[in-house]
Amino acid sequence: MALFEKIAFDQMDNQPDQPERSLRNWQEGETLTIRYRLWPKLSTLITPIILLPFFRLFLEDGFFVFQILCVVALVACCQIGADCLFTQEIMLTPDRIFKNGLLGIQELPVYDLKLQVNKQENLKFYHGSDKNLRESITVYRYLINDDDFADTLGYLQDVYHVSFTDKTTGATESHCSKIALDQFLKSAGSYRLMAGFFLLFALIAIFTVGLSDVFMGMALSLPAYPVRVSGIALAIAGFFLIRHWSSTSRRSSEGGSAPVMDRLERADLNAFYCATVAVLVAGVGLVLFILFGNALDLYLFMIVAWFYFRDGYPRLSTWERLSASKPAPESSLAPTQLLPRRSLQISLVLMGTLAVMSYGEENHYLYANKKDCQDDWGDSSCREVPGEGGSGGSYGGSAHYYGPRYGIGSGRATRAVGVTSVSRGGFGSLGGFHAGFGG
Amino acid sequence: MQRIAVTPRDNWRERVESVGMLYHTIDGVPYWDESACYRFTRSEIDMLDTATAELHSLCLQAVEEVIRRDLFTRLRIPKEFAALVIDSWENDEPTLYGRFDLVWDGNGHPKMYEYNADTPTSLLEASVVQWFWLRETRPDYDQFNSIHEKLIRFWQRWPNLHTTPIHFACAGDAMEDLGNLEYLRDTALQGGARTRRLFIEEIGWDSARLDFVDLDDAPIRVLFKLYPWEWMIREEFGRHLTRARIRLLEPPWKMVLSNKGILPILWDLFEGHPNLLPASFEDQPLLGEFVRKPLFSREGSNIEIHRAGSVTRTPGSYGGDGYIMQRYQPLPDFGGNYPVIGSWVIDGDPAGIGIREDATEITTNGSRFLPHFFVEG
Repeated sequence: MALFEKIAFDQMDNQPDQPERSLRNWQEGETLTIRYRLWPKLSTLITPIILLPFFRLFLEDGFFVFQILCVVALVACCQIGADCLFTQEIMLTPDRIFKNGLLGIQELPVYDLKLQVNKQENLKFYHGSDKNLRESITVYRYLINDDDFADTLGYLQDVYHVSFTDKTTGATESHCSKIALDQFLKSAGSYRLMAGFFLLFALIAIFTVGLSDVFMGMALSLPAYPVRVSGIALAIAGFFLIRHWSSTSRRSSEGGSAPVMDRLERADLNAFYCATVAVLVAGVGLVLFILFGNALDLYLFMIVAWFYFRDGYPRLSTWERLSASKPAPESSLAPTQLLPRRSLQISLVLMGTLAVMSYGEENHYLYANKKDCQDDWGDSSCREVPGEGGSGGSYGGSAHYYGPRYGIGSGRATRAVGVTSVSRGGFGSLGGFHAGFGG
Repeated sequence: MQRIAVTPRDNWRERVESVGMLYHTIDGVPYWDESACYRFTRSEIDMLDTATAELHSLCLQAVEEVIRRDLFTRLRIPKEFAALVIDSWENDEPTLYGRFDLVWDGNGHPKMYEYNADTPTSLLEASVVQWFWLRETRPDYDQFNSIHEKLIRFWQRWPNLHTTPIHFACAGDAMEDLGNLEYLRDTALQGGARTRRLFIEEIGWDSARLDFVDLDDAPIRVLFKLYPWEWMIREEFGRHLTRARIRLLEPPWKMVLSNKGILPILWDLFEGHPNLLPASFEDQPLLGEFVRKPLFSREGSNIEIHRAGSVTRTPGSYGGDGYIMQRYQPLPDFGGNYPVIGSWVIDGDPAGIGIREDATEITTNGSRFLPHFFVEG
């Protein structure tokens, strides 16, 4: 039992509800540079490796919803992980915030800065609106030290004159064109609405079809391969369409001959087209999945669609430039902001890689006879195509032989008659050890 | 239930071959044996019919319980295939056939030895051969046998019967299995299906299309496989079963019932049921005389009968996955002949019986098949 009772005092001073900052007073013209710490960065790299067995458990669980959640979590981890690992420093200058990374520099003008300090105290800067996701920079709290965090808040208040309405949001005085902002919010709203509708339909489809890893698809007699290749071709075409519409917006902002509202509506339309393409690519994945029951189609196209969606997403700076009432301060990077970024190209590489990995993983060299195969690869790499020995099989005549898997093995497939993705003999190995097995 | 010695038909070999049974003699010893037959009364047949329907119902409840209690590890069904079993069960994937092995002498209740739920054979002789034997030798009597009609009816109700071919596969070196397979394929043809036959070793995996394919590289959408599930899932292509667009007969949920581990589970659920014998897993020893059976075994291999301090056992290569124990219930002895009644379930309904007899108490691959008939009464 305590000797003295504690006496509670009311808060005497009437301080505004602001996050705690450092005591240093930042002067106009100063620059603040924050660097991510090494060990937390490394832990960002190591944590997914540690978590991988758990992800695998979920992936192999067989319950499709778990699998989907797991893939979504993996994608989110990859995105955050890449953002953390590739970022070298974040620099706050009087008129811009720069994020320097291995993949390039991202910058935000600060004449209309919005700020969020979320529950984990990550800092997220937006230009103009928190709907402007493509022009935002996140500073991960756990990657910087406490002094840097407090200094950043001080800098925001002293140099940018950020006023906090509560502990989680703050903003500078807005100098953004109201017309541009309104039109931008309209575009962003329609963009998000389309994504929302698609997600709703996707969820309904996934749950009503009763999907699982043994869902066989609804088109049993349709050949999957050509349809899938057509889907990939459509997705690649979508890449060029998004590039085209983005370039159109850029040109119209440079030309400046059409009336302001026409230019803004044109940009709005282009943003809508980009959203449509992204949603269509995701839709192709969903349709392929429903047709053929291969979950990889769903994941592959969804991830690519996500990249397309992200890169086609409206940027307020484009709308500002189009409205021309408040041109953004000069920046060497400004023109490129209108073009699809690297991530769009990454999505193409990803699609190609996954296509090769998923659809061609077990292609073998095919030989007309054993000798040709042995001459190319040696005896150990060659095996007879099961079911052909003596009876002719589907290739007629003598037995054919498989060489090693396509792209593997030390030799040259000079005598191969082709590459086949069909392998045989994977069932029946245990039958030979038993005289009979009909019960 | 009576065993009656009769004179075989003079040309019995030609007669049974004419209806498709080419394996009537195995290793020089007759497998089809019409030197005797079994006589039942209608009330006895009714009792077998009722017991079969009852046992099938109990088994379905047991599958539900295995899923609910997640007993897959107990049954040595790998975790990655548990989902396959559950999905096939929840999607009500139909079962074509199964065969209960019953012990009975006409008195009391038939008792279940086991359920050959996945790859039962001796179907052709039970369905066709003994029926023609009855028509030729005892045309005035009847037989508990509607197997053929029910098989055809099953195929007639199969979805997309006319558009999606049904593939039939068995191992390439088993004559008896091939005979059973061809008979089943014939019933599918009579039901209106398009069919293709291949051996299980010939099935291909197309990694580009993620499909199992036949010898023409055409995708296999529906596969009847006379090949055990427990082997398929342990073989190289087994891992593809969870992602390929293929429907199999028997469906994956039959993995639960073709496993001897279902016997202790049934006893646990329905202890004291008149058609069941007490059974337990090996970690819960069964007192008294008992039979020790591997979880996975076929044709009477690796069976041990423990009674009165002695052990009678059969050879074999099964047992690596563990054993169960079942109360010893002797087969009826008809003058040194020990018959087991195989009671067929087709499309979920009792459909007939076939009797196999041996000179020992363990029915094996070499046990003889004897026809039966029944009289009113």
